[in-house]
Amino acid sequence: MPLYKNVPEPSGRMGLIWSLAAIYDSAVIEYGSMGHMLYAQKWMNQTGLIKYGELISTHLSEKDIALGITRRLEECVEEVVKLGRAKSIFLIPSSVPEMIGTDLESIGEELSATYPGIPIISFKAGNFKASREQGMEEAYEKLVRYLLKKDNEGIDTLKKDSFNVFGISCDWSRFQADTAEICRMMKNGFNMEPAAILGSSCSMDQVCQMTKARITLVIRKEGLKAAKLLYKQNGIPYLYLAPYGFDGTLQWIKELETLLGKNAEQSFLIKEQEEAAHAKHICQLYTRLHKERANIWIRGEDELAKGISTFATDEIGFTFAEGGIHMSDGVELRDNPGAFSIEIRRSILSQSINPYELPFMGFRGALNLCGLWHQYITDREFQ
Amino acid sequence: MNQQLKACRLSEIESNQGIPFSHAVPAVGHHCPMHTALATLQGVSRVSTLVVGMPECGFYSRYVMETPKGPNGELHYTYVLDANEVVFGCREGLLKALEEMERDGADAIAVIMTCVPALIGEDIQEITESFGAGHRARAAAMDLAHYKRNGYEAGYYESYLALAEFCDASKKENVVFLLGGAQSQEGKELCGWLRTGSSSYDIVIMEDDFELSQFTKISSSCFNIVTNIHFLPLAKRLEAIYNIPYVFLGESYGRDGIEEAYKKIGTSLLLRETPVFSHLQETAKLEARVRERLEGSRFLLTANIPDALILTEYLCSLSMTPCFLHLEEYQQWMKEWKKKILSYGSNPLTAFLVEDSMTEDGFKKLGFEKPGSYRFVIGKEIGEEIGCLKAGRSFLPPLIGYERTAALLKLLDGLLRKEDPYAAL
Repeated sequence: MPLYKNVPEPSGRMGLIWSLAAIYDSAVIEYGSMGHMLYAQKWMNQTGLIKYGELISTHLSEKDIALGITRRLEECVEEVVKLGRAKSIFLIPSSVPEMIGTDLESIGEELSATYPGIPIISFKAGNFKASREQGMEEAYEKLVRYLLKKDNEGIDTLKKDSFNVFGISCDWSRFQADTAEICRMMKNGFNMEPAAILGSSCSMDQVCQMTKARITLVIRKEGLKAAKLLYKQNGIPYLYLAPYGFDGTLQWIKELETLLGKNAEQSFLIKEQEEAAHAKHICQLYTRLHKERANIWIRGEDELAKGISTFATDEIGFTFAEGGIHMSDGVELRDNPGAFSIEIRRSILSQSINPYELPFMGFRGALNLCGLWHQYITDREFQ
Repeated sequence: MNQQLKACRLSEIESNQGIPFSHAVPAVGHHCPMHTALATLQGVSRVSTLVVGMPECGFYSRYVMETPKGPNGELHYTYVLDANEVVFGCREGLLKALEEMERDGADAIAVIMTCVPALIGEDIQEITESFGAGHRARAAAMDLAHYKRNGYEAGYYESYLALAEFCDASKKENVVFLLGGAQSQEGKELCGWLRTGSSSYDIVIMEDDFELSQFTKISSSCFNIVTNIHFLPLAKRLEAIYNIPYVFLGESYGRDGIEEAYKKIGTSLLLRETPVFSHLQETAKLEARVRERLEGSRFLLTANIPDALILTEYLCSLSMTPCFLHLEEYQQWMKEWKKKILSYGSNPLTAFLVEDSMTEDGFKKLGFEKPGSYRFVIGKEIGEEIGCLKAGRSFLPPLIGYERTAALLKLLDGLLRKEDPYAAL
């Protein structure tokens, strides 16, 4: 019985929107009842993204359903193209058209033929089974597939070696800060600039640079299928590893060195290691000193949870148990707060306005986490 | 606004489905009725809710009902149909869900049906009735499929209608319900007048927040006075089921209509002569002035005004011409108001206005540009030369009777005045 007493799991459609709307000069068009999209806009408004794609809903009526009329969708696309409102159009399904068997893919193909000057890509993960993960996976994969078409040469305005990032998304807290930290490490460590960053703020032109990148950084498994496709078709290698913690980030750098065939800039690496190692040492020290309350509980089994959890338990010395630090989304933390709660995932309660918060990934992420945990461990309020 | 406006004449509209979208939509859309239903029921103590639909409905419903438990033990759960139920129905699962809610302490459950269960033809009404037959808790069904309408107004009145399901027939008492509130000056005067009858009437005011136990006493009321249009279908239902007469005090902005409503209240409740309400004289003066100043003017109504047809009818009676109406919903009980507008020789273009960035150009073809006539819009500003009565989510404050009309007339009177805000300094 699918009764939810709290918040249901996000759907495939949400996964699609959260991934695609981050391409800020795109239009994400939903053929379906209004209402969902307005809420989706509210979600996007609260992510802290200053710019994101235009979210559009066609709405539909009983007559459209009964007679299978899709004119609203066609007219809507026509208007977006005519008015030059977007550089790419993503057609996403919703439950009612799925129910009546609207063939969005065929409509997308027809519209692509009508408007050859603009990418029109249709997606499927709006059915009754698709999960958020499936939605994200499809979003990344379809974008790659579109860019790998024979007649698509991509855009090459990059001046340095570049990298793609797949898998960052607005369902994780600090996703913009994490993106910035990855870009900072890539710039200072390997003198590389970002090409396509799927899931965080990115333009369609940047997405089109994807095929020119030297490497794809896959942060979570949802981006793996797309990265593999890019590797298979274009020979762009990928690294599936999320840089969490001190050792985790060093390992990430090491793997990159191997894949890129060059060493990271030593002066940068030494300085970063010194800073992070100092914070890690102090945090370890106090954690050992107050072992009785050095408990940490992190919800989830994805790269975010595993990455932070491994850092906390293997590197710092926390015990994985409830009661001390709880790290989850706002709803979970409201219902099951720890002595010290840290939001690491976004929920309907999240309202992010500052893209320059401290990250959770990379060297600075390790520093930030050490700082937060150290605050709990040493705060007399918790003793 | 480059797109061509699609609209039909008011006379052509016979149902919700007849209201066209104004444009080919490149817009995010509006809220669905589930949103307004939850927002309404959030204010009703001891009423639990169960949203039945797809993950989006359940997930995003938490933007309204943030917690699964309300302050007085209300439960706000969601039922997300799985792929199997989309094909074979969700009756069994839904009954089990209602039983679980009962076990968790829910007494009254409003079951909100969204698009997909409605599309597969799930008979939620039957399910709630079956559940009610064998359980302590009661359930009421609400069909809020968005594809059956454009707007979200149904969320309000279907919620109040659903609450009627929690009432039982009971002996009539000297209780008068004021449905929609009466906190204004005229509301207080009305309450004072109601106490002058030969019978001693208890007055119960139902506004946004109230207790279910207080509400269910409505089946014993002897008369209902509706001051907010969102309660009108409820009053009609109560009249049909429990034979409780009602007056819709918000049915007219005109003085004659208001006077008639007050007369009906006085006659039905055997009250003393209708009092001279404080705003009566002011309304008469303002009305004469506005009629003189704005006669022959043309207007557009672009905001969501719940009583758009009633407002338009009044402006027509003041010799103003409606050129465009944004209409959220059209129900059969609105027919009389449409007829009245048509009787003035006005037959405005009507649509569900999608583009809220509509500019003056967009209305060019509506006869809005007739030389020599003053033009104004009720909604967002659309041009420097066009007057504007700003209206967004709300237009007039929650006033009743003559006081409401006076507030409207003051706004209209202010349209042609260019007052210097610093004049008094």
